[in-house]
Amino acid sequence: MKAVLVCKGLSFAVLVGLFLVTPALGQSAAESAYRSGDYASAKAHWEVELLDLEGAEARGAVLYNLGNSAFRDGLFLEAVARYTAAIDHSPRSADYWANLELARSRAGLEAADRGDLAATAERLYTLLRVPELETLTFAILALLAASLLWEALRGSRTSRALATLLFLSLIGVAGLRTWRVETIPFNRVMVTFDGGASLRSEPSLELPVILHLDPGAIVERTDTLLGWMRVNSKGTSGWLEAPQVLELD
Amino acid sequence: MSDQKQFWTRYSLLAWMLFASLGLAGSARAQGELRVTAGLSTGIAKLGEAIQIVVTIEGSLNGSIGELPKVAGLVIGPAPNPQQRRQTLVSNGRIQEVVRTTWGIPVRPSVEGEYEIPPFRIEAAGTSYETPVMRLQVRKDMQGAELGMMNVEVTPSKIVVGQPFEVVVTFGWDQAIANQINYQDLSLPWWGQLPGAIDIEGSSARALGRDYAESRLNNNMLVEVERLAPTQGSGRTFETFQLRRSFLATTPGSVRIPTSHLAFGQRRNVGFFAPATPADLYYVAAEPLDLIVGTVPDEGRPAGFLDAVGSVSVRAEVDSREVNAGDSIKLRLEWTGDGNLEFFTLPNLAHMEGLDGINFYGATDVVKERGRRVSVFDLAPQSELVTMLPAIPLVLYNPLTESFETISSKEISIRVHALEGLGTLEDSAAAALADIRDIRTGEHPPEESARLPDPDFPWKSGGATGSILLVWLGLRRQVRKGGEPGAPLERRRRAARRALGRSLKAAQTSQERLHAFGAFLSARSGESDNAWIGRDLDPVLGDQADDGVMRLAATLDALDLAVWAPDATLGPSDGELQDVARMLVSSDLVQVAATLREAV
Repeated sequence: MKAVLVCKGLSFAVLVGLFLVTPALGQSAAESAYRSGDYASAKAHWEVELLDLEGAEARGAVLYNLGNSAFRDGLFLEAVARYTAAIDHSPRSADYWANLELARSRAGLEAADRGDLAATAERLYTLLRVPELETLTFAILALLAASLLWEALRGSRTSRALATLLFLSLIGVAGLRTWRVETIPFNRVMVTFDGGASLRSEPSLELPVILHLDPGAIVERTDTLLGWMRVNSKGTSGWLEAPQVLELD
Repeated sequence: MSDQKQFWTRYSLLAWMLFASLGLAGSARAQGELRVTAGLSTGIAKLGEAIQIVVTIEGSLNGSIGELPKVAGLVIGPAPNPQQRRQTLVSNGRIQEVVRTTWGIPVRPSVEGEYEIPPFRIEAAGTSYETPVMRLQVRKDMQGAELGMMNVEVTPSKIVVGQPFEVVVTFGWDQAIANQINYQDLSLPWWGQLPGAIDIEGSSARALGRDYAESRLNNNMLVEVERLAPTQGSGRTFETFQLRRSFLATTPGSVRIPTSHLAFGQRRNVGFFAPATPADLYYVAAEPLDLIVGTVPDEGRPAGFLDAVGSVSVRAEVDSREVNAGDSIKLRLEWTGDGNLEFFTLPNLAHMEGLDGINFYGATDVVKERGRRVSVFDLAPQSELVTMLPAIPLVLYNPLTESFETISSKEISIRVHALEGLGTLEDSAAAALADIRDIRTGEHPPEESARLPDPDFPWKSGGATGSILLVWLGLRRQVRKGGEPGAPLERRRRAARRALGRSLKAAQTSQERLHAFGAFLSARSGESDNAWIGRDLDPVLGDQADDGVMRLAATLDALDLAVWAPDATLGPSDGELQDVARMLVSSDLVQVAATLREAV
């Protein structure tokens, strides 16, 4: 009887162990491949993992790891694209920024954060992601509702000042969110080909080049065709060879 | 040298002509590559000399000449068949077709005099253009060449498309007759009408701070000319002047600069309102010039070629040779020479080798003018191991040697101090800068935030804001029906109730509770703290008594009873006392107290 109980206990422990270990197996495989220097395998594992991830932080972490794989492989432009995408998901991560700057430096690109006023302003207004700005908007709305309730019941000067301040904050945050949604396209791609990419009027190598995009240039993807991608660069639309660019998720 | 008075009446005409010329050029530019020019082969001619009006359409083989004007003393036309030229170029891997149609319309002067040929129409690619007014002087003879000198040169002598060039006109007259010269006119028929090239802005002699004088040009305008030192020639000493005009070559092939003339001498003024009349005028001519415009060859073109053309030299300097790591150094490069300095693209140092450890933050042009360009490159060395700013190369095509050349600025040694607390590159902090940070491992956070913007956000946020504002307005209106809650009286009432609550909470005995309630009533009626202790309320009680006063009397009786007969009753609770207080804050206790005092 004791033996049966011991066996059942062991079986349960093994099952629990498997249950706990299994979710980490994918990561372990990628991580172990990365640690052993097999960056191609690590990249493949993380790319598969990326397909099922929906959360911003999780995608940011996997994109960051993909950036590290590319960097170790000497593919600095691809690393730049991966880190840029990761920062879109986690803009406040110091690690992501550090690796992005190093990768840009190795790729011969200008620093992402040049340290001047414009770059600092850009860092500030991209500190929060759009969904975070939306959450913040509703939080301010809740506080505004409370302050207006206070104002309606008690009518003090402080309550009116607080309500005004919160209303202005609401307009600012909601306006920033709307501006970012309107001005920063979601479907962006980065030129990761060392020689840059050639924009053509139609998806054919026979047609003349209408614009040359430098390595690291970020443009909006508007359409895709087998082996080709239609993009919009500052008002100029044309077709690029798909392998010359990488999508920023 | 002046003789400007008679020009005042013509200034308005001149302004209209300039506008017309600009309009002609502007409309031509609006057609893309299409450009129409028209000018005389010479502005001053001897009687009987063969002259032509040269009309050129660049960018189209499809054009025609409208009805030619009739001018007494001149026989103009008929227009011959046009010369058409078509040339195919390969530039930057792209095929470009250059076409040009040219007419040489004959003009035969039959009488000596000064003529104005009015505008006539030119049809080009379906668009109608109008020529500018052309002026022609016809003389029986043109003597005096030995008393004057005139020379027209083009610099540089060999150019390619996209390269600026200068036409330099040097002229003057014998110093021995200089005091007799009060009139001179440059006849430059190519001024503003040079096929195959467009005018570009140059600096005048005055702008360059040189000694200058004013000269008539084409008998209809004044220009500033530089006064040079006297020159020797043919055994004479000449008073010498110089005029420069810059052009940009736009199409390959030949650019012809027609015959230029200088007329100089003396004019007599008959009266204040009468025009000046010429007398004893001398003429000197400069032969026409042909300039060959080539193209930059595709063969052997280096990858780093950024359309720089000409013969250029470079000088480099920095604003500081000693900086902290990460601090900016402004590298100032000055290019000078006969090149298209205004037009070439600056080298992008972000893609340059040899800049390891140096961040490049961009370049700005400080000076951009004919013959000189100054650009400032913003660089930031990142560690103390950087000891040299590398040479900055510029690939250019030199038409004189017909080869691609690379000119480089000199390397500049610098000293970079490590940041305090960061140590050297061997230190871990700096070493971290040289390598990427490690991958993220472990489980993902259990609660993941949304990745994409909410498409319904505008409706949700707008609706919520609107609802909150509506509720607030409704509630506010309802509350204010009973008075303004922020008014001083309302605030004092609330403060009195809060004070009563605190006193009742602190009270340990019925006596203390009675005194706390008494103090509340005294504060409301403006009396001393004990005024309501033991007070008889009968004078204000009766059938007409207020509910609040009735309840107050009952409450005070109950409190009294609790004080003096503690075993019989516990007295009203704190909640009951607060209810009475809430009722009383709206009652006029001051009036009640006054009535009671009068009764006593």
